[in-house]
Amino acid sequence: MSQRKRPLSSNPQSDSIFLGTPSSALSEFAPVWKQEARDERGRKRFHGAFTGGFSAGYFNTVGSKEGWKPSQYASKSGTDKQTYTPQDFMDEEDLADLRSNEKIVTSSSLRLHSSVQSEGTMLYTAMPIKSTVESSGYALLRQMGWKPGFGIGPLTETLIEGRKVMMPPRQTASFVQLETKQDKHGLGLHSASGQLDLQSESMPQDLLSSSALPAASSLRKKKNSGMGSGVLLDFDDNEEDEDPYEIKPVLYDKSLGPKKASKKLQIKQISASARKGKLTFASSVSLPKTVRLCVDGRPPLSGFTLSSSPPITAWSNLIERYRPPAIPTTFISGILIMKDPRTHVTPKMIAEFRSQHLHANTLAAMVSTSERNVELPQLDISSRSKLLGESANKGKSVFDFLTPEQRDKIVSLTGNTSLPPAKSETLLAASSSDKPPADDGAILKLIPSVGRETVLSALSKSAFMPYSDIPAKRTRYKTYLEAHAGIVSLDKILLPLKENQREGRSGLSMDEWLTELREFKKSAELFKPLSGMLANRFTSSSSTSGSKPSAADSTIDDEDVIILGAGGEKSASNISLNDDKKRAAELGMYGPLTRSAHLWSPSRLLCKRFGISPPLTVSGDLQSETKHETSAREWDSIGSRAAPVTDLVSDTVLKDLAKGADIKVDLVENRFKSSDIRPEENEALEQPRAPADLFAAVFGD
Amino acid sequence: MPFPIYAKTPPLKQHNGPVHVVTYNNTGQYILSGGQDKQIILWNPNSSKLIKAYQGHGYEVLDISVSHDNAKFVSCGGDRAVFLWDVTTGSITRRLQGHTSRVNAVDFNFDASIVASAAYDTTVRLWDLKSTSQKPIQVLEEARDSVSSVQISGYQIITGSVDGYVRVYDLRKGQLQEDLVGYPVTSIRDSTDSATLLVSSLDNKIRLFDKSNGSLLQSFTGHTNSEYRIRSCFGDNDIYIISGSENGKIYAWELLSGRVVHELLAPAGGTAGGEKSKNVVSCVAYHPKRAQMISCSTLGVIQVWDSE
Repeated sequence: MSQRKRPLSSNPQSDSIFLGTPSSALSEFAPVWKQEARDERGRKRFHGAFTGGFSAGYFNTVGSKEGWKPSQYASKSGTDKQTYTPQDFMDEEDLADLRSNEKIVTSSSLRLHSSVQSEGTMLYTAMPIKSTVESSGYALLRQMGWKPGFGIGPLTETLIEGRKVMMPPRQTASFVQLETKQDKHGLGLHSASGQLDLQSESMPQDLLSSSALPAASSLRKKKNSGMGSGVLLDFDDNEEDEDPYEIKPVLYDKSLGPKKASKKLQIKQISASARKGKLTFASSVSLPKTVRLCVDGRPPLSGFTLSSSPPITAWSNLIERYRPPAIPTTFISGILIMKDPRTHVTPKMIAEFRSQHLHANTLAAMVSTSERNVELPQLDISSRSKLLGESANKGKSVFDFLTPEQRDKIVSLTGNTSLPPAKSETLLAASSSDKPPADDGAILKLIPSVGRETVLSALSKSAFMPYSDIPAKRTRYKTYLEAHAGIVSLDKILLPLKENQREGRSGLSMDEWLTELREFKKSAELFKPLSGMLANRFTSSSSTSGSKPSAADSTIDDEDVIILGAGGEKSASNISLNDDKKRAAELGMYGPLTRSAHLWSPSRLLCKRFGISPPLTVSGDLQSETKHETSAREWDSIGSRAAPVTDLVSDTVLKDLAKGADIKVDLVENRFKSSDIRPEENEALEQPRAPADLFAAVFGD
Repeated sequence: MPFPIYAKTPPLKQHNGPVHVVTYNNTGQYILSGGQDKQIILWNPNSSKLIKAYQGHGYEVLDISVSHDNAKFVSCGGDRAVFLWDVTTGSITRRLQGHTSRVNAVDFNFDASIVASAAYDTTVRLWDLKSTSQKPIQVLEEARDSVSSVQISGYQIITGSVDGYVRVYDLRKGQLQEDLVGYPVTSIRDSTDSATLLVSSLDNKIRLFDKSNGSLLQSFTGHTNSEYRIRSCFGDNDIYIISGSENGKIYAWELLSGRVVHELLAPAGGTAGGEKSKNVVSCVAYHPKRAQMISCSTLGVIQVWDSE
């Protein structure tokens, strides 16, 4: 209960109230710097200097009396276990670099005797160790008790100065050092004279003394391939007429004696060839008194001696040893064809055979060619063929076709009078013989036949019928096909021939008829349609030559677009078209033959720019220009039936124009009449959806 | 009119390298020439002075065509684009791009609203100059090989191609007429009366065809043309046929008779060994009104020929 600040008036009857704090309460005034800030609960506020801002620490429950320390950051997602190594940031190239920089070094743990190493090595100066690093061999020896200066071997007991001492063996000579060959000549070459080093000079003389080899090289000077010494260079010492290839006489002042083993260490450099020489065995048995030379006059190579058996003096003596077998006298080198291989050939038979064949132009006496002085008979083709038993040549030779004058010419030119006689035949003798085969049957045999299947497919409705411009030929083609299909008898094909014979010109001659039949055969094979399912998937396009479109367009009949206003009986088949054009161009016959017209659609905009009204074949809208503008070739295939029919140019005008350009535009009339185009309707788009099996056929497997 | 055979004025040698095309403007007052050095130069033929040089092509210039009002011209070349220039300022007004190989020939139509360009990529593109579209109005793709020359004559677009065909696209009839010449066609020119076509081909012959039925009216021989594109033209109201040749000469035939009436040796340029090096007279043009003609050759020399 708070004290009343305002005392009630002590006098209840007074009618005044007291407002305000009595001034006695205000005696609590203190200057600002003395005043303390306390909150309503009496707790001190503003610890320290207040500089404005919010308080957060301690009494605002952050921290404590001692103060506040920020906590360590701890990742909430757990500790990041992956530590990255530099290798993680490297790519292939960097890693490859790292690897290449690695070196293979023997690790110190592999050395057997690291303790020994640490002692340091005390080397004798006499040791021919060139490397500063001790090799493991030495280290091993040392481990086993060897000391530098010792030889290899067990310690022996010796007496020195009265005492028994274990002495190590004496060190023997030579760390064998193999020297690499610095020069470029072969191994046996004597460097100064250029000769073969038959006797290696570097071999120690004492070793060689036991051999009986001619010491020709010992007389040669010590060779150093220095400047002054060469084969012919040393004039001073040798006379000029000294022959370097002269074999000098042998000196036998060699002695067998003990090896002088020097007390000092002798390090001799033994070349590889010397070591080889050491190993050769010179047999003491083969010690000839005289030195024999080889066939070329030189002594044999070092380490070799000549054999003792008598030498071969003449080649023909070998014949005695290696004589060829004797040929029996009954042998005949020639052909004797025996029907029965088992017959025993007697000399009588051979004589008979020989006498039989003793003709002028055949292989006369079938004599062995090994016998001398026999002339081989001259054979020509006919005699050889007779010999071999071939039948006479059936074919024609060129001489059958030559005239006698031509033959004489050849004879005079070549001098060969035995040419066959000239018969002056003509090539077409067979076909244009005087009497044609009178027999119908024979003629029928000449008709080229076609397979039945081909014929049937060529006759089918969807096949292309060629020769649309020559109806007569077309009927003949049909007859041909039908005859081969069996519908009609084969005799019908003969009709045109018969007409010819009867009246003269209305039919065909034999040649023409035959060529026509061959053409028909080829056409039948060519113009069969695509069969079955495949045909449904494709429709043939109609090209400029007026080939018939697919079976669906059966409404268009024979009056196809004949764009080539060509005269003449040309077949309108595709293949020959381009060739005709080209041929005409080559001949210079420019004109209708080399010309072809196509429908072309200029775009509307183009026509507008040119200021002309767009023709029938115009394409495209003004605004939206489709990317695909039909080219002239496409126009032909479409047949321009999709073109909108606007009668800007009437048919008659078109016809007149076309006449000027020499095009038969009969198509316009036909097309418009027969199909009766109504632009509002479009049958192709308005047909009911095709049956499911058609779809399956086209798009299915 | 007598035939211009005198080379009065000195030859114009400002080009470095072969000059591919030379043409008069509509009135015959100026000549424009373009060549391998990527420059197009405007000359005054009478004073032999160079008036202006137009730089802008990145590759050689193969053809130039001047509009009927002489205010602009188009040029084409190796950089596969057609450039439309303004004559007086020399700036490129438009760049028509779309061909995929070098453009061999260009031509304006009669009111300079359409440009036809023929290129090595076998197409002929028709560009609209009145719109700002980047695409051509139409692309003619019937040729099977490089189209070497194109001309818009009246309502027909005539093209000649290396595949040996001359194609006449008639806009009014909506029809394409293909004529087989048999040899690569290098130059086509429509006659003044539009009844005949002059066709140069690589078999050393120039042929004159009747356009109505495609028959051959005349053929002109005597020159050599088997490797390079050499252009031929009509001269003096179609009395003469003029063509360059690969032997450095200019040939002129009488159209009606077909015989050679003049053989002029084009100047070689006087370079060291210039007499020995091959000079092909690649283009000739006849003055629209007077008896004057110009020729240009692969040695970089343009010659103006006068008749006295």
